[in-house]
Amino acid sequence: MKILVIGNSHTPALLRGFALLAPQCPDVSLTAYAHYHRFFGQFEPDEAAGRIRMKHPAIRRRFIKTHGGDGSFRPLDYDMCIIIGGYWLWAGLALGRFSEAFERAIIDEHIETMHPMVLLRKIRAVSDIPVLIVCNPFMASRAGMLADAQAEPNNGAALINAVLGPRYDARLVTQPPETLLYPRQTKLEYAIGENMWGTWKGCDFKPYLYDDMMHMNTTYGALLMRRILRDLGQDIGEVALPAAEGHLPYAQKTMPAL
Amino acid sequence: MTTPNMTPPNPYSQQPATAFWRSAVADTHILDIQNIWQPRFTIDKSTRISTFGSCFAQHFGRELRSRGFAWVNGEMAPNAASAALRKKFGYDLFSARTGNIYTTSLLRQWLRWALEDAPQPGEAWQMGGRVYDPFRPAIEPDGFESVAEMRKSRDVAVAALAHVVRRSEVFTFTLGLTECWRRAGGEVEYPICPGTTAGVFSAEKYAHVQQGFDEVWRNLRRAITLLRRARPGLKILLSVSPVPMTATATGAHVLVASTAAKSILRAVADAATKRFDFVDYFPGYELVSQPPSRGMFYSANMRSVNAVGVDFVMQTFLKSITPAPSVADEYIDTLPGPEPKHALPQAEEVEDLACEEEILAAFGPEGGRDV
Repeated sequence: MKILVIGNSHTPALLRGFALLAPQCPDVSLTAYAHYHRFFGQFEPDEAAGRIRMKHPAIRRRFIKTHGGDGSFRPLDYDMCIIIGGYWLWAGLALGRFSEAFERAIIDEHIETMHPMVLLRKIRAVSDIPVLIVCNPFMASRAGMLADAQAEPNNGAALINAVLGPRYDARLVTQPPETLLYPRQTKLEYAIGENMWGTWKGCDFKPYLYDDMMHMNTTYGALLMRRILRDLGQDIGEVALPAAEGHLPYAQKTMPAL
Repeated sequence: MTTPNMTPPNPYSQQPATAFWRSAVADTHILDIQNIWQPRFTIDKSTRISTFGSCFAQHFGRELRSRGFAWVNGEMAPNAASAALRKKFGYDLFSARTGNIYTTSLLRQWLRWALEDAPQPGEAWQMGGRVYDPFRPAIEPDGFESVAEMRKSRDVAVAALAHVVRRSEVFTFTLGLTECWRRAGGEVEYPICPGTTAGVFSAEKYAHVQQGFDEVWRNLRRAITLLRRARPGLKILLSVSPVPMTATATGAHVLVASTAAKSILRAVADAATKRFDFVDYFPGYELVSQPPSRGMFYSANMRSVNAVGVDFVMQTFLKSITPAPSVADEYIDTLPGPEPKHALPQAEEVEDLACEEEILAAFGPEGGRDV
C-alpha cells in the first residue's frame, strides 16, 4: 500500500511514528510532501496531467530536492492520501435544538471552511483516491489545564464524517484518546522530545529548541499511525513505543538556542 | 417704526435656535445637525436594550451589538455558525427570531402569543415538499422539514420573545408599514402577502387591510399595555423606518401610498410619546428621509438606506444619549487623535437586510429590478 502524506509541521511526528511501525507492515510505503504553516493554498491541480503542482517557488525547490522531478506529484500513483494540518475545532452543537436545515448548514459550513479542504478539493480535481484528514493535535501544557480544554468536542467528528464520507470519500481521523488529558488538551508527555523536519538539504529531523507545546513526539505519531494502519486493515501487532524522549528538559527548552 | 429688538416678547422669541428652520436646518448641513433628539430616559452601554420591528431595526440591533451595547439576544445561534449563516437563518437580526414585524397589529399578535399564551394558528404553508412558517416565511431559507419542526421552532421564538421582554430595560420598535394581509374575517395577520414567498394566495381566504391612524394607534396602545404588564418599568423607544414601501396593493401610486403610511406611523409615534412618559421617539426617519438630507442617505434604488445613512443615524443616536462632555473630555478632544483605522463606509457597502417585503418587487414590471 502506497500512502501519500501531505502535511504541515506536524508531519514529522507521523513519519517518525511510522518508522517505528514499518517493520510490522512491510507492504506499506509512505511518501511525504511537507512544509510549514498553511501552505495548501499554494498547490494547484493540473487536471490534464492528473498532477498536483506547487506554485510557491521556494516550496517547489524543496520538493524537488526531496523528491526529484519537478516537485509535483500524481495522487493516482498512490492508494490513499493523508492530509495533515488545520484544525477541526468544533464549537459544539447540541443536536435537536435547532432546525435540521440549520444544523446541516452549520456542519456543511464547518467542513467547507476547514483548512485541509483547500487541498482535498484539489486532490479531488485530479483523483478519487481515499483521503484521511489528520488535524493538528490539541496543545499540551506545563501549567495545568488550558482554557477550554474541558469543552467537549461533542459529536463533531462523527457529524463531519457523516458528510465528508459520502461527499468527498474522505474521513477525519481524530486524536487517539489515550493521548488526551482533557477533551481538548494533549498529555504533556507527548509534547516532550518532538522534532522538526529541516528544510535544508541533508537535514534530518531536529529537536525543537524551545518549549513547544503544539508539536507532538514520535510516540504520539506512532499511536496515531498505528490507529490509521489498523483501520486500513494492516495487522500491526504490539509495538514497543519509546517513552517520551525528554532529551531537552524543561530548563533547556524554555529559550531558543541561537 | 419698530425694530426686531423692540418687538414685545412672544412665544417664538423665547424658543431656542433649534426651533427655527433657518438656523436649525437651512443654515446647517445635515451632518452637523444638533440637538435633534433629547432622550427621555437614560440609555448607556449597560442598558439592556432589545430591537424589533421593520427591516431598518436590523441595522439598529446590529450597530448596537457591534458598539458594545447590552443588546438582548433571546435566541442565540450556536457558536459554530458563522455570522453569514446566522443571518441567513434569521439569527441576530432581532432580539428574538420573529422575523420582521412591520405593523403594530403584528407586534400585538406576537406579544399576545408570547405574553398571554394566546393560541397560535395551526396554519402552515407548503412549497416543494418543504414547510414554511406563515408568520416568519423567510426565517428558514429552504423551509422546515415538517409542520412539527416549524411549530417547535416558532414556539422557541415565542418563548424567546417573552424572555426578551422580561429581561429588557428598553424595548425598541421600528414601525414599518400600515398595509397588511389578514385571514378574511379574522384578526390573524401575516407579515407578507400569502402566495408571494410561500403559500398559495386565495382571495376568499386572505384580505388586504389598509390600516388607518386609529387602528395603528389602538394596536400600539395594546401592545404597550402587554409589554408593561409583563415588564413593569419597561421603557419603549419607537422609530419609524425611513425605508419606503416596496409595493402597495391599494391601487394607489406607491409613492403616495408610502407617504401616507409613513405619515400615519409618524403620527402614531407622536401620539404615543404624548400619551406615555415612558415612550420616546428617535427621529431616525427624519434624519434620513427629510429634505435636509437631499436623498443622499438612500441607495440608487431610492429605497434602501446606504451605509453612510446608517452610520449617521447611529452617530446621532450615540451623540444624543451621551452626556455632555466634561472639561477633561473637552481637553482630550483638543489632542491630536490617531489616524482613523477604517475608511468611511462607501455608500453602497451597507449590509443587506433580511426583508420579506422586498419580495413584492418581483411582482412588478420587469421583475421589479432596480435599474
